Amino acid sequence: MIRYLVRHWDDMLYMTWQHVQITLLAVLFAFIIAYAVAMLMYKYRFLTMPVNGICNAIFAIPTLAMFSILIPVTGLGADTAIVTLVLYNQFILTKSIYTAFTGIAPSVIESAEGMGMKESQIYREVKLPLALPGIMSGIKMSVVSTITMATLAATIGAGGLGVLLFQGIATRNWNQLLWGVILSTLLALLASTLLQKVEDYTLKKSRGEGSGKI
Amino acid sequence: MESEIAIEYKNVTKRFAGNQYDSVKNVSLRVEAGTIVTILGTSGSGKTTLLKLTNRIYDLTSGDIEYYGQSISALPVNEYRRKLGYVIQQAGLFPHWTVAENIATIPQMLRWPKDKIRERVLELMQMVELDPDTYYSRYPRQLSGGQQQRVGIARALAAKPSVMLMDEPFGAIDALTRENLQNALIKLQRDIHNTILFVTHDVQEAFKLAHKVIVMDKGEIQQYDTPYNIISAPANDFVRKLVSTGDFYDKFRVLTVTNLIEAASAEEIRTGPRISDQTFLNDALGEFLRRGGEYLIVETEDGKIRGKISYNKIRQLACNGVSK
Ligand SMILES: Nc1ncnc2c1ncn2[C@@H]1O[C@H](COP(=O)(O)OP(=O)(O)O)[C@@H](O)[C@H]1O
Ligand SMILES: [Mg+2]
Repeated sequence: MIRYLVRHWDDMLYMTWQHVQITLLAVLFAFIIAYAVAMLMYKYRFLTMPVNGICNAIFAIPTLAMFSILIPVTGLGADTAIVTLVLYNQFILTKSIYTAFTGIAPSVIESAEGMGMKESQIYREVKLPLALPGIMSGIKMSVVSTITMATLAATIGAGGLGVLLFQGIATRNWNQLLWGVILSTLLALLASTLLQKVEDYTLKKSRGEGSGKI
Repeated sequence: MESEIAIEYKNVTKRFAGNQYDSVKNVSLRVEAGTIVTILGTSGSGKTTLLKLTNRIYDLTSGDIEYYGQSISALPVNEYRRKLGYVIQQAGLFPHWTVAENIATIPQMLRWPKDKIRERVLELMQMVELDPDTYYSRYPRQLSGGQQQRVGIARALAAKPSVMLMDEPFGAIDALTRENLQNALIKLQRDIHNTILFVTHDVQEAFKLAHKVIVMDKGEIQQYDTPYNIISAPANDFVRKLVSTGDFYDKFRVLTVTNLIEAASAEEIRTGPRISDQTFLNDALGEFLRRGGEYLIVETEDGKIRGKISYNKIRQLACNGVSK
C-alpha cells in the first residue's frame, strides 16, 4: 500500500484536487440556485409544494440515468457531473434554506416591522443572522453528500477520486481501491468537521453569545 | 379644555380577504393625547386587528385613521411607525442582540451618535427598572419573561414615540410579575405623559390601567368610556355581563378614588390624612381600616388638594354594588 502511495502520490493528489473542484463548483452553483428558489418560496408560500415535489422527483432519478439524460446535452466529462450534482443538491439546499427562514419566530419579525425597520434592513440585520445556522447546516450536508456522490463522476470521465475506486475494482488493484476509499472518506470527514465548526459559530451568534457592540 | 387628539378612528372597517365578516366594523373614536386607553374584548373580537390597522401592518378596508390630524395613509410608512412604539406579547426581542443593542434598535436606525445612544439606553433601563450593571450586556435568552417584556417596553420607548401600541404585552406573564409590570407602566406613563393604546382580554388589567376603556365584541365597539362610567353604567348586556364578574372588591382594585371625591372644608383639609388621587379604592379602604377616621384628603402628585373621600361613600358603593 505504501509502495502504491510512493509511486502514485502525484496522481492521487491531482484526483483529490479534481474531486474538491467538482464538489466546490457543484455546491456553489447549487447554492446560488437554491437560495433564489428558497427566497421565492419564502415570499410566495404556495410555491412550496410544487418546488418540493420537483426536488423530490429529481432526487429520485438514479445517477446513471441522470447521466444518460444529460450526456447528449452536456457531453462526457465534468460538466455533466456538475450539472447532475447541482440538480441533486436542490433537494437538500432548498429545504434547509427555506426552513432556516421560516423557523425564525414570527414575533421577532413582527416587532421589527412594527418598529419601522426597512425590509432590506430586516433582511440583513435580523433574518439573515438568525437563518444562518440553518443555512450552514444545509451547506454542510450538501458538501458531504456531494463529496460522496462525486465519486460517480469518474464513470463519465470527469475524474476525481472515483477513478481510484472504479479502476481499482476493474483491475482488481486492491491497494488502489483502498486508497480511493480512504481519501474520499477523509475528504468528507474533513469537510464535515470544518463546516460543523462554522455552523456552531453561527449558531452561537444567533442565539446570543459573545459581547455586544455598544 | 379640549385636549389634543393623538389618534382618531373614522368609520374604520376591516374585512380580510376570504372572510364573510368584518374583523373591525365601523369603529369611530378619538384617543386623547397623554392618556392610557385599553382595548378590552374576548379572543377574536378584533383587538389586534384594530391595533395593526393603527400602525399600518394591515390596510384599511374603508374609513380612515388620523395621527394628530393627519391621515396615516398619507404618511411614509416606516417613518410613521418609528413615531409609534410597538410592544407585543412574546416581546419579539432580537435573540442575537444584547439587551442594550435591542433597546438601541431605533436610535441606531436613526443614526444617533454613540454617546447619546448609550446614555439613552441607560436612562431607559432605569425607567423600566432593569439594573444596567447586571443586564446591559445580557442576551434575551438569559432573561425571564417579565424582564424580556421590560426590555421590549424600553426598546419601544427609545426614540420617545408619542404613541405606544401594546398588544397583550403581559399576557404570557405570571400574575405577580404582571402586577409589577402594570404598576411600572402606570408610573412610567404618569412620568412621561405619552399616549398608550393597550390591548388586553383581562378585565382587571383593562380597568386598572385605563383612563378610558374600549370594550369590543365581534369587531364592534360596545362602549368607550372611563372605567368608572363603564362599571357604573354598562351600555348594554354584553358590557354588563363582562363587568359583573367578580365581587365588589375586584372593582375596588381597579377604580381610583377620583370618582368619589367630594368638597372638603378648610378644617378637614388642615387636619385630614392625605392620599394620592391615583390611589385605588381597595387601598383607600385599607387606609380607613387602619386609621379609623371618617374621611381622607385627596391630593394630586404635586400636592394640590382635590377634596375628600369619605368612608361612607366607599361603604355605600360596596353595599349597593358599583352599578347604579
Ligand atoms: N390575517 C388574517 N386573515 C384573516 N382573518 C383574520 C386575520 N387576522 C385576524 N382575522 C380574524 O379577524 C377576527 C379578529 O381577530 P383579532 O383581531 O386577532 O382578534 P383579537 O386580537 O381580539 O383576539 C378573528 O375572527 C380572526 O379570525
Ligand atoms: Mg389579539
